[in-house]
Parts: sequence; structure tokens; C-alpha cells
Amino acid sequence: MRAAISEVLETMYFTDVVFQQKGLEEPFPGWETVIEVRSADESATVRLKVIFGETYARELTGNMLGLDPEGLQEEDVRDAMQELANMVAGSCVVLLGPEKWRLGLPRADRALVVPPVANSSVAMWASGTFAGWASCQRV
Amino acid sequence: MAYNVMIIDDSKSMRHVIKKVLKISGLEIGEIIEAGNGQEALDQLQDHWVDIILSDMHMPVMDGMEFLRRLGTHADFHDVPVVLVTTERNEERLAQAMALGARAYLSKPFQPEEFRSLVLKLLGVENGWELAQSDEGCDF
Repeated sequence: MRAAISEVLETMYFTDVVFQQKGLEEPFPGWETVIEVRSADESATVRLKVIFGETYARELTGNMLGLDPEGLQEEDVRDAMQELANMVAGSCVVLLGPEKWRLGLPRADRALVVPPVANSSVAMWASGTFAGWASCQRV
Repeated sequence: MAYNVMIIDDSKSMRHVIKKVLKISGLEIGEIIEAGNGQEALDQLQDHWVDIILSDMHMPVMDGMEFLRRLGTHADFHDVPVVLVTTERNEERLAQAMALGARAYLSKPFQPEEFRSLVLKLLGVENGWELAQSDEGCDF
């Protein structure tokens, strides 16, 4: 998941993050994007969650679109976050075995985000500032 | 010669990125027609001529596979090259898409240069950089 996130951020959002175990543990305003990957026989589902703080999500969207983050609409950020999760999940599927798994459609929500508690959660930091969380869990 | 391009993707952001890459590709671009899914694309084709179609696969309403099926029976557009720009990595599904008429596919995320080379190749343009000068520069 880390490699997939880095690849997507570097290629399409022109930035990168550093992964650490520790991050902001209280709820924070941000964007939570969820995408599910289902096994072809429907017997298993993996849920990928990518969470970014509000400011960083805007910055990423601005980078992708080549626009000033301040001038972006909420729908622009939602769309960019959904596409980000879609690409990360697509890269993760390669590792899982693309012939056995199918991608669902991503959904991004702006909310007071509660940090994920899954063991697989990893915090993302950008230039020394907390950027968000990512997790990948079998459900 | 200016090429008309159709971009089909349910993500407005991705359509924006693809437009930006096209504009810096060195290729002379005419009209860029956008659609959010296969059905919208088919509707748009009633009023526009396009030289190449760049399409996502996973979309609501009508996905890329169904779009390819319908395009294959279209009187005017069955020969227009279609490039799939997709997160799909399942080789069997990609092979099905190629069998339905897609000429090539490009995995997201993609490098702008990789995208440019593929589009130029499918349009039969040998050296895109010499064809037109982009006034936007290469700041992608």
C-alpha cells in the first residue's frame, strides 16, 4: 500500500509523503476516501481507506489540476480524492493478483475524520507536517 | 492537421489532467469532447467527429467495455482508435477490451511522456514535438 500511495502521489500529484506508525490520533477535519476491492468469487473484500487532512487534500488537488488550492470547489477535492484512492487500489490489486480481484467505485466524504484503528494503519507526513492516514483491511 | 479528441472518464480531475497532457504534447489539438461515461460519449458522438478516443473502463451508467461493444457497431466511429486509460490490471479483462476493439491501454497512474508517445503512435504522428509548439510549456 505504501509503495502504491507513493507512486500515485509522485506521478499524478507531484509530491510524496513519509510513512510513520505515529500520527494525529484525535479526530481532525479532512477527507476520508474508501474503496473496496472484492475477490472475483465474491468471498472476500478488502477495504482501502485513504484519509487526508483538509489542507493537504486541497494541496494535492491543486497539484493534480495545476490550480490554486484556495480557488477549488469541494467537488473538485472530492473528485481528486476519489481518483487518488482508485489509482492506489488499482496498484494494490497488482500485488494481490489482478485476475482474482475487482475494484469497486471509490467514495470520498468530507468530515471530522476519526483516525483508523486497524493494525495496518499507517500515518503519512509531508514536509514534517501530519498529512493523513491510510489503512487496508480485510472486512 | 488538428485532431479532435474525446475523453471519457467519470472523474472530472482525470479529464482535466488528460487535457493538460494533450495540450503540452506538441500535437495540434482541435476540439476536446468530454464525457462522464460511455452513454454520454455515444450521445456526444452524434454531434461531433473525433480522431481518437481516450476512455476509462470503470464508470457508472455505461462502462468502457459496453462502450466498446456499442462503438464496434457504430456506422461512423467503429474504426476510430480507442485507448483505455484505466486502473484495470486484470489481463483477461484487458484482453477482452482489446478484442472488442480497443487499440491500446495505459495504466493509471501514468507518466505524461508515456501517454504522449502512445497517442502519437496511434494517430500515426512520427515526431509530435516538431509538429506544433506548445505555448504552455512542459510544466505538467
